[in-house]
Amino acid sequence: MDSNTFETVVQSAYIDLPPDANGHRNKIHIRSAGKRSTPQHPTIVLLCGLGSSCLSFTVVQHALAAAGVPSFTYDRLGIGRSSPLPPVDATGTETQPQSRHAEELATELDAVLRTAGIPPPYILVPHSYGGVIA
Amino acid sequence: MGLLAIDANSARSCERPLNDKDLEVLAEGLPAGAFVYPDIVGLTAANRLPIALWEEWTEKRLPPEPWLQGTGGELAEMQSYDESCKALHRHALLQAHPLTKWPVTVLKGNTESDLRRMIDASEALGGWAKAAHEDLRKRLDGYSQLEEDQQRDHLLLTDVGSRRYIEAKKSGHWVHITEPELVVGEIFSMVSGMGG
Repeated sequence: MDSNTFETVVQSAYIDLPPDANGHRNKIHIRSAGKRSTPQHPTIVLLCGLGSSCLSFTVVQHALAAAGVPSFTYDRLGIGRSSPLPPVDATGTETQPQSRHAEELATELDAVLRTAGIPPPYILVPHSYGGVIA
Repeated sequence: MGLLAIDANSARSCERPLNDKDLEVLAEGLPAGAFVYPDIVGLTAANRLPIALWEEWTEKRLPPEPWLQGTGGELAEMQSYDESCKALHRHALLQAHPLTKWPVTVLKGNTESDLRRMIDASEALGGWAKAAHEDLRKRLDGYSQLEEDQQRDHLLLTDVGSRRYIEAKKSGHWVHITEPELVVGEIFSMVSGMGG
């Protein structure tokens, strides 16, 4: 199967998160496949492990979509195709400490789902460190 | 809601036999400048992604918009790893069963097997002293059982009747790459059980 076949089913897009405490607007890379048939049906939310790009879930997303099950995943800040860390201000000075706690990552997940317009219910599918974030 | 935890960390995952320093030492024994981990642990052989996506995932190819190449995230998350696990423990979610009656499945892989492959590869390449390899191997004894105990903690999030524990027998840590059908099948089963 070639890249195009996957990309027509599992689609990449970018969302702008609301400004952070320092006023930065970061871009998050999201990957969605399939559509919800009714509001009661869950969306499968796939959470990557530490430092891993969400591309690793593409085969799973493709198979789920083929069976009509919608799925969603994303790259956390500083990973994959999302904005790099740490953000810098106009003078090039770093504005955020080089450490991200899982609680911050869980808050980011909530913001990503809201901004991307993915309402509950969910089935969370974390891999590795994603289990701590979930 | 539901939860399918794929070889996932839990509140007790900061208890592990090899620390970050050990892993750095292990990496030093492997060829410099090459991301050989996927080859060594069998991911490259199992991969079903198109080559462009695979090379991007293994960092051999830049993303389509290189100015949006995520950097710094892995280090930032690693620095808070232990504290994040401890914080999860403090939340005492496990006692509260917050997902009462919603399905929770633990799909365990085998990280111990991946680490042993890394040690074997490092040894074959003559990376460092044999005694150091033996020390690492000894410390890995029983790791899979420890991981099972840690991962079973996820099951405590829900009632007894909604719990499932499965082992991915043909996988290391990356079950969704080596056995994606196992992950997909379990998701279908959960969706079906939720009336989907």
